[in-house]
Amino acid sequence: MISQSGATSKVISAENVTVDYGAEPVLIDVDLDVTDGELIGIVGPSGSGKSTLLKVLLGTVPVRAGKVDRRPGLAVGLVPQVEHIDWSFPVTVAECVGMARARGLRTPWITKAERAEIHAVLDRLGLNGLANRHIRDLSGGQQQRVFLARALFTKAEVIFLDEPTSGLDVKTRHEVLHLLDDLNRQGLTIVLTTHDLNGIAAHLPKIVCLNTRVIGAGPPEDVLVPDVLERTYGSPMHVLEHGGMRVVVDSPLFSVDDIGKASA
Amino acid sequence: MMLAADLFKPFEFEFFRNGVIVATLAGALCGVVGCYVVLRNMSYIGHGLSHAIFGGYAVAGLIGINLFLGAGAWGVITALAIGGIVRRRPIGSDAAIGVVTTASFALGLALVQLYGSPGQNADALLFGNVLGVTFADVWLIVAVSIGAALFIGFGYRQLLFTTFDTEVAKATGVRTGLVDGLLMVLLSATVLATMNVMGVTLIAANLVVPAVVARMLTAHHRPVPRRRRDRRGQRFCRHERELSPRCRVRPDDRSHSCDFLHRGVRCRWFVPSPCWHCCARPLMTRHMRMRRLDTLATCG
Repeated sequence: MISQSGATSKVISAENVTVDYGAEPVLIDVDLDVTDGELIGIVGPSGSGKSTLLKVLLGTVPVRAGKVDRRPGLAVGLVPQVEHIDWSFPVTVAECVGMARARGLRTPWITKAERAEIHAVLDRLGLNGLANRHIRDLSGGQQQRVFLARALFTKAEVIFLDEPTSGLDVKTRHEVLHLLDDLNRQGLTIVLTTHDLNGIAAHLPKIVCLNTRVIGAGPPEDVLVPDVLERTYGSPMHVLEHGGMRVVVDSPLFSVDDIGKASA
Repeated sequence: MMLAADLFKPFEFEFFRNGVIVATLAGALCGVVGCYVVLRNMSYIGHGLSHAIFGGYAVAGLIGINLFLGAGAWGVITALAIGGIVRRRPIGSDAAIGVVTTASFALGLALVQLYGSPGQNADALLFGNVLGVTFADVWLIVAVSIGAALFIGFGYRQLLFTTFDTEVAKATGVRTGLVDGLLMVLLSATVLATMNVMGVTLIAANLVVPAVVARMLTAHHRPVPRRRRDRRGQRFCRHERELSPRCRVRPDDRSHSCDFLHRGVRCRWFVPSPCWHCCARPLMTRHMRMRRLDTLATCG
């Protein structure tokens, strides 16, 4: 399991946050504190408000009630879901990373100093030699790392990742997870959403179970328990111990026939 | 000598000089602005906006204000309305453009039918008249071109980031609403300034076609250094051994096929062996070769 690096002060704090998009509330009375150096995973079923919570913490979605406090001058970065990227957009890896430094008056072209910084970030993430490749011509793991590099290039102190491992194979998922662990150990605060309880969430030092409300928050030992998972996902789940890790499995008693009987 | 003199004779006339200047600037302006229009999947906006401005022209005539100012203000409002709807409502940009611009055009037509054309020939606005360009038109298009150069020059990264990934740009601190709004204002100013020259139908073509062609020819937003392109091209051109999966030599007829790179615009070139790239190479100018090889190198 990934260990928690030394957490010190709050960087973002959400208190009693309620969000709606003009209809049913997507988040109700959500409390979440993000402290310096944390690595947090937000899990929950589809439509539970995971991505909305990320946007609330980022400050791009207005809240209907409650308040969100961010440390003044906090630099944040967002790694979007790869499904939302227009892969035919004509940009190379270097341009994709370089465009992120866009605030204030900048030269249209990437300066020599910026190019050196971009290469340093790409080297740090194992993408050396790919700066002039089109973003479409990379593997899934490399694409994910390019967008991480873009967030790092902005000197972000907190990085948010929306479903960073969706659509990736097991090996690439491990690579991404280890990379995030390395970055966290170097002091970066990371908040991510994931559907993958066993592949990702169980390895994280802190998990937040969300289903419109926060059902549970804490280390996997406290959160990955049948009661919390059932209240989060709305279906019974079993938790097994395997090699010191928690493994979540669907209830063997809950088959397709049971669903049919329940709905009848 | 006679031929050259004949060729330059039209330049003695002011209307011809004005026409050439304005046509050149209009082409460049529409080409630059069109890149962002196409990348935002708003290709129809040029067509729609040029029709929508017709509504402003009719309304301005009816209430007795300057036709040009009225049409311009109407165009800006229409463009901002489209941008606002696209940002806030869960409908696509194509639907927003369709609704707003056709409503505006319909209003203009109805008013012209009811109260007559407000002054200028409405056909000239619809189809343009490059030989009827005045000195004021030249200055207007020069001013819009300078504005476009300044906006794209100083706001290049913000514009690129917002176009590529609005949500992340907003999260990173870019004022995406302002960038979108300014682009829409620039677009409507472009349409307004070029309307007398090209008319509404050619504006749409001028905004979209150059950008689409450019997108087919390059996979980069900016060209890679020439030396690197050359090297990549030569490596690619040592054909059979190093052809990318998308570029195949068919063993049966020894023809060589290459997928044209972009998703959605895949035209396949079949050329007889030996490799077309190598055969054609000596016949091409250096500039043509660079562009061609850059395109081919991205196939892999």
